[in-house]
Amino acid sequence: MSQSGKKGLSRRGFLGSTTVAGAATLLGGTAIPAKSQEQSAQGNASASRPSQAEIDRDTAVVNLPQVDQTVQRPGSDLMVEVMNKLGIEFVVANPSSSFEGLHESIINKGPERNTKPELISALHEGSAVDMAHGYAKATGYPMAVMIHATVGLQNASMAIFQAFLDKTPMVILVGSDDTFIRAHIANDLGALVRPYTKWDAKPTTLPDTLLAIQQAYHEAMTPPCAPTLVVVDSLIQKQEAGNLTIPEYQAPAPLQISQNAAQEIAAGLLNAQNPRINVGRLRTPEGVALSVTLAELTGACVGTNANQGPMSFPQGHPLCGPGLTQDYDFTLGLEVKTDGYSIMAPDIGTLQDRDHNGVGLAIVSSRGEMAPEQGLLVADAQSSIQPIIDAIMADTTPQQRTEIASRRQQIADVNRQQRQQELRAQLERRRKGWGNSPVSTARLYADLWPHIANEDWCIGSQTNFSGGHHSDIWLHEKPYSCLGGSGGAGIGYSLGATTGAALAARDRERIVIGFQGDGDFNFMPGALWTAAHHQLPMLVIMHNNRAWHQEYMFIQHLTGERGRGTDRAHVGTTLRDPFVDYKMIAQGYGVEAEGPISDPEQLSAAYARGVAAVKEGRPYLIDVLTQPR
Amino acid sequence: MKLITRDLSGLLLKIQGAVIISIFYSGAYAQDLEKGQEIYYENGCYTCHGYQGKGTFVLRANILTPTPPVLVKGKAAFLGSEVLFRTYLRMRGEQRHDKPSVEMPHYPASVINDASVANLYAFISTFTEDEPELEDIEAMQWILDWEEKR
Ligand SMILES: Cc1ncc(C[n+]2csc(CCOP(=O)(O)OP(=O)(O)O)c2C)c(N)n1
Ligand SMILES: [Mg+2]
Repeated sequence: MSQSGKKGLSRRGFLGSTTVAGAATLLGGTAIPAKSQEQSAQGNASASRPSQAEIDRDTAVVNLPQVDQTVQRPGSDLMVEVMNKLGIEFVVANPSSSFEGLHESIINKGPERNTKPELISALHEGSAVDMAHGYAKATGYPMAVMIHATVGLQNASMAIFQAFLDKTPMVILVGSDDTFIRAHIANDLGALVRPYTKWDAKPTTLPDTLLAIQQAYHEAMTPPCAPTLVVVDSLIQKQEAGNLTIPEYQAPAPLQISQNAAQEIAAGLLNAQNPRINVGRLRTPEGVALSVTLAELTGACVGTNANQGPMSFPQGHPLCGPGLTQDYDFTLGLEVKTDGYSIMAPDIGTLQDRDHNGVGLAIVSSRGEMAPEQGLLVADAQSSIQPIIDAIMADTTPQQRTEIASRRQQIADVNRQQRQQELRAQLERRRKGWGNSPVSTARLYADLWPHIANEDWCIGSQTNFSGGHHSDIWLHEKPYSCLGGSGGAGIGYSLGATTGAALAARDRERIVIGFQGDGDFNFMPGALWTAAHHQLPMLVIMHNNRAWHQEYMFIQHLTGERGRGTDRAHVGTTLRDPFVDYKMIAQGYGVEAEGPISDPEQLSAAYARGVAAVKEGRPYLIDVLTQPR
Repeated sequence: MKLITRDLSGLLLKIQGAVIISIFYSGAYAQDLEKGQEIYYENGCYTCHGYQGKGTFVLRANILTPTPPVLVKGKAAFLGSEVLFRTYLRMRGEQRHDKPSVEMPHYPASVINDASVANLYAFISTFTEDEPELEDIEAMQWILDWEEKR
């Protein structure tokens, strides 16, 4: 099976050699090589129950195949090299023989074994994907997830779905072993998650596999950003690569606005007396830095989303705020709609042709069309900022420069005043129930802020169920200050996402906080072990209301509506009888923990202990009994 | 702890804007705070009102808006007396079948009887607005100072 002699590999060659796997998938098509088609009769049988021999194989009651020739340079070494060159820092996996070649290469390929990428261990594939989700939102860049065949991919599917809706890049490598247990084999593994991945391929040669990993990265990072998937054949991982070298990679050049549009926007910003820029979610920290430059060059006041989600304008920047008056005479939206110009990347709805089975995901189809409204420019906002900056640099007159400098100062003063007033009002609202036990959700957040305000921090979890009080009383300065929700309102996301954000933080002197609903926690608590094992700087604060409280309220409302009393609404909606001991669970996974704390006076000291531990790379959990919401 | 309260009778109560109901009631019940607390918990009053009646910050989207009033005497008309309170609990269940509650559940006597209402009322009557002023909350002062200095 050696491919070592194959010459002249180019992207064209790749697409040509696997017409179905490459070109068709670009159009959202299915990647089924001819070989697999032939196997489909056998493939159908694969849905049957595993035979005894297969179960024996899976449980290692087998003689492993004899190897007659030692492989000098396994194909999977090159796959790891490709990931290294792409800058992929981590590959998270729950181990499996279908990608054992890759696994072994990651941990052993020299000279720097198990670094860039480093193997991260997850206890559940859903958790693994949530980690990649949190990581990518914190950094703007994808990491990889290795997943085992049919079974692993189905475990992962809901998490992939949410990452897709959340426009988050990640590269999913699905191990596939056609000689293994039949229940794990499928002709078309990608089909299991195709309606909510952006691109997938099932390459049949080593060179194509290397190209496919690159292209998966490329597609994941090209707006709309989303998870992509490559089926990685187990034999290809193990085959001799000979002197094959890895292909060149060209970073994506996402769609920019036209030169004319850039000039028009530059002129609009320069000629306005009271310009406004609203910043939504850009792709990477580089985009955020560009948006700051643009605001400073034009003296525009800026609206931000940084207290709701990642990659937006720093909230504490002097230009961030409502500005002098709100009758803006020129408005620019960067990945957010305004009544002026709005530069917005195509949404994931544009990928709805990937839904071959007619699943008909409502959220995808409803987002499909972008109305060709006036002022709406469909392009990647982040990549479009530089051309606007260039035009501004070229066109600013000395007089404009003076005006802009003085406007900047005026705006800074007004914004600062406004922020202080607003903060006082927001705190005033949150006095409610301050001394009560169990702890008010407002206090859960307010008491933490003094402990972290002067640290480099990131909130990895969703926060809306616990009040999201950080939004109004903390200051969100970094592209990763707040990573926002799961994308699809699916529960179980937060602990994994927080762990992924903590992976991103580990080597960057940053700490990560997760406000953790108890219902959410209990889906995949095993992420705690990942945090302990990899020594991640992660502080988990339980918003423990001993319920799936959202659902409790729904049932309660309905019983009320039907006049049957609310005394049984707790049935099936509360986590009582017995209460869950989160401290013990955390300790069982090797994470330091304390609680449950219901006396609010004890909270701040617990936070001090937690933050101190996390700063030393020791994950820490504080179980706080809270008011329901 | 037992409390005895007397009711007002023949009181005019205005609830839900347009509905004016005349209430004729006499009789009083012994009030047991512990039982009242149990009823408050078992019926899940705390789910929206919080354990001390301070309300919650986030409720289910779209349905429970605005957030419920603080359950402190003087802050909500229906806490004015046990009769008012009972009437408030009952009225949707027994008198407005045509208009089911879209906010708070209704509680017919078959669900919470009059004696239980008395206990519940007694318990709720213990709620006070006891939060310190902003100036007296250390964390909040810290937050304001930090903002000023940055
Ligand atoms: C995967 C999944 N299962 C079930 C639900 C329904 N659901 C919505 S909110 C919720 C409760 C979440 O509990 P918790 O995280 O403790 O937050 P709380 O509502 O208690 O604030 C559930 C189960 C969901 N959204 N996603
Ligand atoms: Mg809960």
